[in-house]
Amino acid sequence: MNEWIAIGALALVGLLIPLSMMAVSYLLRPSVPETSKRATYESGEVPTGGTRIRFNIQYYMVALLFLVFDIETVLLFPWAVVYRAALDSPDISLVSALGPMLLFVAILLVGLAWAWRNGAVEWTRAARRRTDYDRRPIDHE
Amino acid sequence: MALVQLESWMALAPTLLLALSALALFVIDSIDPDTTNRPLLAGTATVGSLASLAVAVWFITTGVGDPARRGELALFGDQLIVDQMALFFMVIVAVVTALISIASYDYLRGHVYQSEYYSLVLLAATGMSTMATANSLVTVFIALELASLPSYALVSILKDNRGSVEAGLKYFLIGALSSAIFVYGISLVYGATGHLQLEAVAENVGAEGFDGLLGVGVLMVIGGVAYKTASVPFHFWAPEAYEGAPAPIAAFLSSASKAAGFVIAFRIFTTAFPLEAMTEIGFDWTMAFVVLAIVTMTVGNFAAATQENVKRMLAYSSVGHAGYALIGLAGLAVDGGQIVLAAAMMHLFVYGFMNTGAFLFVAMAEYWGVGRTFEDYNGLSSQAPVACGALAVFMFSLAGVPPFGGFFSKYFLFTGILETASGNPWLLAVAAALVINSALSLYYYARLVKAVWFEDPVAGRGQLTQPTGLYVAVVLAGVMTVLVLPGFGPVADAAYAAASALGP
Repeated sequence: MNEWIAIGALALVGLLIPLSMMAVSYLLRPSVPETSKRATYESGEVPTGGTRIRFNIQYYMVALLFLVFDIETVLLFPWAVVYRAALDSPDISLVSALGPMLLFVAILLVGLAWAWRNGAVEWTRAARRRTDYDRRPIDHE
Repeated sequence: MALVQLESWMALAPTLLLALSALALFVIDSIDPDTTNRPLLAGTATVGSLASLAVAVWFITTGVGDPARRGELALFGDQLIVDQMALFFMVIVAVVTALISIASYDYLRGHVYQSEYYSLVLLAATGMSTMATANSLVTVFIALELASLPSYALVSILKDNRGSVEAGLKYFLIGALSSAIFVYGISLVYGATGHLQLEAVAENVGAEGFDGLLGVGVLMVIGGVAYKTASVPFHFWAPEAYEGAPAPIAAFLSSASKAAGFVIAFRIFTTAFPLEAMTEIGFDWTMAFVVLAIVTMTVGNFAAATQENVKRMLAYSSVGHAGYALIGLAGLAVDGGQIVLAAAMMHLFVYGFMNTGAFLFVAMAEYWGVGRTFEDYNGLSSQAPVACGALAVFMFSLAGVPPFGGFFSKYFLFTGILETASGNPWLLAVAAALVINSALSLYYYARLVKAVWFEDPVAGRGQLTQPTGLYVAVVLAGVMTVLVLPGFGPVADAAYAAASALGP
């Protein structure tokens, strides 16, 4: 017997369970149409404005800056693991073990300093008119 | 022999100098973010690219990368290789970067993002220079992305100009699509051969038995290369991106970026997919390039002939020239064809000057604000004879008229094809297409020369200023297009040595 048949059976069961549950509840439940059920937020909050809002560009700035540190860590970690062993080996000098990593960090620091100086980490305090929409709890996370 | 024995990683100096000057620009911009010290910024970019050029030329003359002299240098476990072809294309990239850095000095007057512009140009140039050395499918892809990502930003750097932003978006979307195709092709090649390093791929072609998979992977790699070189079927971004982009950036993309696309094409196909092994498994990729070359040059030239807008005409003409350079791969054969490959490299070298110059003339016209169509250029020669003289040189050289560099590279291409056509009769069709398209191209190139030199000036055009940087760059490119003629020997030698070192 082909072992893929078991996978196929699993997929079939996986599909049938939710479909049958939906079908059963459709047959059993009473139908009470009511307008408030059709509202976007059942808590009663009235939605305002369109769904196409402009995100503050600084969310992306922070994400990009995070990337600087993220990449740094990803490379630093395996380097740190082998660093001791590399120094103990007679073939590798301190300069050739430490130098490239210092250079790498220095390049990232130049990038970070540039972003900092160009105002990527200054949170804008734009004189934007605050609306009800802004005060609503953020739910698009 | 050089006086000093350099470390082997120093062979990457032309690339590293470009990266270093990009970092220097970041530091300058960090010290004074609002600087509009244009001489300092343009000067740093120019000095950096000229230093890169000087080192690359020095390496070529001292025999770095020459198997008979100092030898090819494989670095970082064969991920990068510095051979003659790498140095040859490093020279092209550095020359174009230097020219457009000089020209941008005037073009960017009053622009807000000065240092960002130059650092992005240098980072893109670093990527293109790395593409020349990349010797593994991974480094090829990373270098390609390093060249592409700054290019997208550069095309749309005129943030308040709708055309520029639209062009950047189109370029980005098509670039993302073709990068995806390219990287998928790489993954299929890896799946079929189990290796990413180019020589290792070559050794394992057909060894694992996934020939169909490998064939599809190679086709997708061709797709990725076609995008970077603006060849059919991925050419349609070129006119849009070039038209909307600032003209120096259009020059950069159509010369340096195209040359970089070709260097990875040359290296991948000669090294990773050797013709002999590929023909054995029934996938002779030269046929694909025969078709691509004919279609690309025909589409490019016929579309260029119908344009009213000068920049779009040049954009389509650059598509046509991609078709000419593709002949280099179409003409390869199991036992030869290096002469065609060398001719294609020479063509890209000359093209680096004449096409950059032509786009920089458009940059000057945009600087003057005279307009975009052929009619708007009418009679410019009465007000700016020197620049228009250079334009005539570029146009006739692009068309391949005898006294200029463009003629020689096309002539070598033509004789090269005829020489190798005995092995592959389809090459005769390529040769015919080359002649027909060159003849057609003379029509629209001459049309621009006629507009500039023989038509009556447009009434009411104001006094034209003489922007120093743009003039220097245009005249320099013009002089080089002419000087390539007596200096063609060394260029041809370098190209031929580079091509025969690749050897199928």
